[in-house]
Amino acid sequence: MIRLIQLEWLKAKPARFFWILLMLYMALLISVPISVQGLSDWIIRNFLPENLGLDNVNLFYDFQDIWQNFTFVFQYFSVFLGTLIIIHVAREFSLKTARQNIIDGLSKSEFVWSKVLFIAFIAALITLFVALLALLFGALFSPSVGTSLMFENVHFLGAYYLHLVQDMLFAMFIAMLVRRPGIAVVVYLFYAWLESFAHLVIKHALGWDLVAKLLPNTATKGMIHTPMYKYVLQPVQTYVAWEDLAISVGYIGLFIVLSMWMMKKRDL
Amino acid sequence: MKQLLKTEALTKRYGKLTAVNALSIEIEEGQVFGMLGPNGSGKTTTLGMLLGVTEKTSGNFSWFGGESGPETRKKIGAILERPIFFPGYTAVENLKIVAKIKGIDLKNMDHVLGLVNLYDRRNDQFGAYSLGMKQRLAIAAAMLCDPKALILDEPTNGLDPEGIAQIRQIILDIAGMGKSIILASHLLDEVQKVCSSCIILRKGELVFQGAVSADMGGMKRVEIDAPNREQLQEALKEIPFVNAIEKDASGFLVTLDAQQDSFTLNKYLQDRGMVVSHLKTVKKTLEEQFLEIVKQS
Ligand SMILES: Nc1ncnc2c1ncn2[C@@H]1O[C@H](COP(=O)(O)OP(=O)(O)OP(=O)(O)O)[C@@H](O)[C@H]1O
Ligand SMILES: [Mg+2]
Repeated sequence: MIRLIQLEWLKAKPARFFWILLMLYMALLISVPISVQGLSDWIIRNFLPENLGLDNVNLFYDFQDIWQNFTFVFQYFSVFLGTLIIIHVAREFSLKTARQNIIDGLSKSEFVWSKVLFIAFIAALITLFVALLALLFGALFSPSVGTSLMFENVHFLGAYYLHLVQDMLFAMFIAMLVRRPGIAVVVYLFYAWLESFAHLVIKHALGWDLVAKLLPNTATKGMIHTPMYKYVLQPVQTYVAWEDLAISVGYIGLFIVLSMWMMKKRDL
Repeated sequence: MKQLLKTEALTKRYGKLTAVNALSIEIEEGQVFGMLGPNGSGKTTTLGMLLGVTEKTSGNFSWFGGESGPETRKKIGAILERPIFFPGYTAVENLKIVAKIKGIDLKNMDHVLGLVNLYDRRNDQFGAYSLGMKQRLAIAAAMLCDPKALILDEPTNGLDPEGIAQIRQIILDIAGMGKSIILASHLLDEVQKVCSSCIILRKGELVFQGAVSADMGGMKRVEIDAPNREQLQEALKEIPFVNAIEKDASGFLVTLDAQQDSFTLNKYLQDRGMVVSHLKTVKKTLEEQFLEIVKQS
């Protein structure tokens, strides 16, 4: 298992696109809390009367809520990681290195597992990064601090981890299906658009809520509910539902099985 | 002698096309074995099945007297069709990947880079290599694990004469280390220069298996001349075991049935009062034999 992760690392480390997309993604993550802070300062300075005592945008960083707020917003940047994985996987087919790997003695299932483990590994690193980011901004700006509160809703990180893994595995699946990096990226982005359209139709026009919820891209973002409504005093689901987790885990299994099956069936 | 490879009725179909048809061969260890055949005869397809990248339709194969699968492939160094590496990565970065797959350390790396004369260029990108250097790096990668067997599919494809000579020398050097080598090629010359025995494939069928120097065609050719050429030609035409008569600069070139030779030809002519001034058995070049074999079957 260590060998397979090391193998993927040797493949990814010298690649420029890998670092560019990863750095871009991390920069975007950092930019969110920074711009929210900047925005809140700006609003308070310019629009609110002084001494109002209403530091309301700082609620974004409030412990307990910060986990859901951060992970919810960060989910919208995962397309960069999906693109990274697509290029990382699909180029192995267009360059034929996958074929040479098998010739050199990797088994086809090891080829798939090494990608899966790599995805799990990257997702873990990013989740850790998000945890540090949330702790940092929470410590700096949270109105309420205290160790018991701090980690109260930390389980959103788990949902975020599953989201990352499911998203990247979906990208891996598309890459193994299409095998050409450029076309695979287009298919991946087009699918995202298509599903958001299909979701509208299914949920709002047809009213099939359950079906809409089961669509893969909807399911991957469905674990963490929109927290922002609470700032306009609407009810918000502030926990992760088991059934939503189960759907995501189901997709994770499905993408691995389908990728494995395609890999075994097709010549390289 | 220990067995290197055995195939039993190995078959690959692409829809209606049978790329490899019921191939059964046995190869012993410790030799340079040639796999010869024109373009599209199924060489790469056969090697692809033996190396796990092409799913066989039916039949069986085993390496080293009964093994197959990924663990076996780790003991083999192989190049199929063309060198494959990440173009933007250096030779060293690419070889590290190969080593990780094979589960070996890197202590052999400098040695194999030296073997193919690329040590000085080891930190240059693969994509910036010339074709000859790419082929050599592929051989280095194949040698990295100190393999029990080396499989080379058209290793000199697209190279200039100097590049071809370099690769050939490397192959001979490696063979000198006692390694088994399977060399697939459509270039007869290549097989003739380095292989001790070979098979010939045609449209996926095995049409010949044997030693490279042996009489592959089953026919003999003899140069013959006499002071009176018209008379000689008339006499040759009468002989039942002469299959073909061609005129050439030093008289005639006649093709005999396999069972006959220059001695029986001479005796036949003498019995009819013909005296010859020149008589010589011509060893056919592999090229001629190859074309003959491929044409016939
Ligand atoms: N993926 C494929 N799909 C369909 N047909 C294929 C495929 N790969 C090979 N073939 C066919 O199988 C036959 C054998 O091809 P193969 O590549 O094994 O020949 P070869 O002996 O290696 O030829 P060359 O000397 O040109 O390399 C050819 O007719 C080829 O068109
Ligand atoms: Mg070929």
